[in-house]
Amino acid sequence: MRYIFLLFLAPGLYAHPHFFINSNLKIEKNRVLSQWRFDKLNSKLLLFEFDTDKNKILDKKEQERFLQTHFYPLKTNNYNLFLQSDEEELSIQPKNTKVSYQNKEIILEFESSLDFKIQAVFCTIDATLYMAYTLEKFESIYEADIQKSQYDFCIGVTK
Amino acid sequence: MSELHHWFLSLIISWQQEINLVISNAFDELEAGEGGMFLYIILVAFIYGLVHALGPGHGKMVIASYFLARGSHIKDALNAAFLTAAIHAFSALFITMILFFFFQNSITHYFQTINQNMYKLSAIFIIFVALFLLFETLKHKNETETFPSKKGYDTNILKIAFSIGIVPCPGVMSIVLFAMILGYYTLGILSAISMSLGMGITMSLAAIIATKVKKTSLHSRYRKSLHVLSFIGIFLLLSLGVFILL
Repeated sequence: MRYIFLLFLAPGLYAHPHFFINSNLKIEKNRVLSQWRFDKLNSKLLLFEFDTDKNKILDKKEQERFLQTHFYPLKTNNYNLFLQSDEEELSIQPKNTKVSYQNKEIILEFESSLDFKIQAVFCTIDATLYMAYTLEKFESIYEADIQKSQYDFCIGVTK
Repeated sequence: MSELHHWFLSLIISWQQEINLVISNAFDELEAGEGGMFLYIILVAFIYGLVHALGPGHGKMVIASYFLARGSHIKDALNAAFLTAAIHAFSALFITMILFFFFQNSITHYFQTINQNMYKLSAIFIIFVALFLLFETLKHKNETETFPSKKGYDTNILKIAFSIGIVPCPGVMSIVLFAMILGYYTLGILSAISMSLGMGITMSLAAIIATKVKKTSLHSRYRKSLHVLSFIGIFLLLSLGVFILL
């Protein structure tokens, strides 16, 4: 992989990580599967707020309310992701988004399309550091090069 | 420089992530009947405060700029840092309690909104303090001693501490809310106090360093640089206010 560039955006002077997210990523032929696992402490707070019937299961309505509050607003920042297919920057259109609560963690999963000829770059991008992403697991059918830190990561894949 | 900043930030975040996990596990053990965890959580909250304030935010730059502009004594630097940390934690405690008791279904949403708006308000206060300092510095331009008198309390410290401190600390908010959800109200409040002490120590370092720099220049052969330092401090303060506001 010749070109991998990390988007080490200088976080704002007042940037704070509010959520620590362990991210699992799986790159398949035409799609990227993302899984965000929220830290235990914040998962408890989120469950308290969104699990209105207090059964520790997020039903459709509760999931939707969670997404409306914490995921859909990220659209303005391309869902905190940067996806470049060959030379073109693509916008993320999340599909099959779901939220669950397992092992004391809130887990958010979604898919995004991936279509490239030679090379694609996939990075987290959140200069506010509102969410700090740690890449925990990664799988890819393509040759991949990874650069990661405690709060962001960048992956380049080549066909 | 950018790589060094990234490395440092990464280190601070990894420590915070670790402490965050230690705290939630400690609460699990407390729930399971481990009474000793009560004091342990307060101690970990103190360490969390020390580390949390090392990261961006919390007004270290603002405090340092103030003391660079104004100059003062170590005692005042410590006062400013601990007062800021206390207001920062109290503001978080107060807002968390209001949200917990009255807005349970929108807590994390309000966390975000309140924080953003408080930053703006804080920025306006910081700009006012900078303009006030500029006015004072210009007024006393020809005086050789720019330090505030040792007699009496420098009320500007209260202004600057309030300007920065009103932004509620998100770290304190999370821990207090976590404790309250589990029904440990006293532990939540004690953890907030403990965390603010930790933050106060870290913030003191910024204030003391700025005070020392200013003092060194006062006693050096380059006393003329005192005014230059004052203007640099005011410029930094003003820039920070504008930057946060925009």
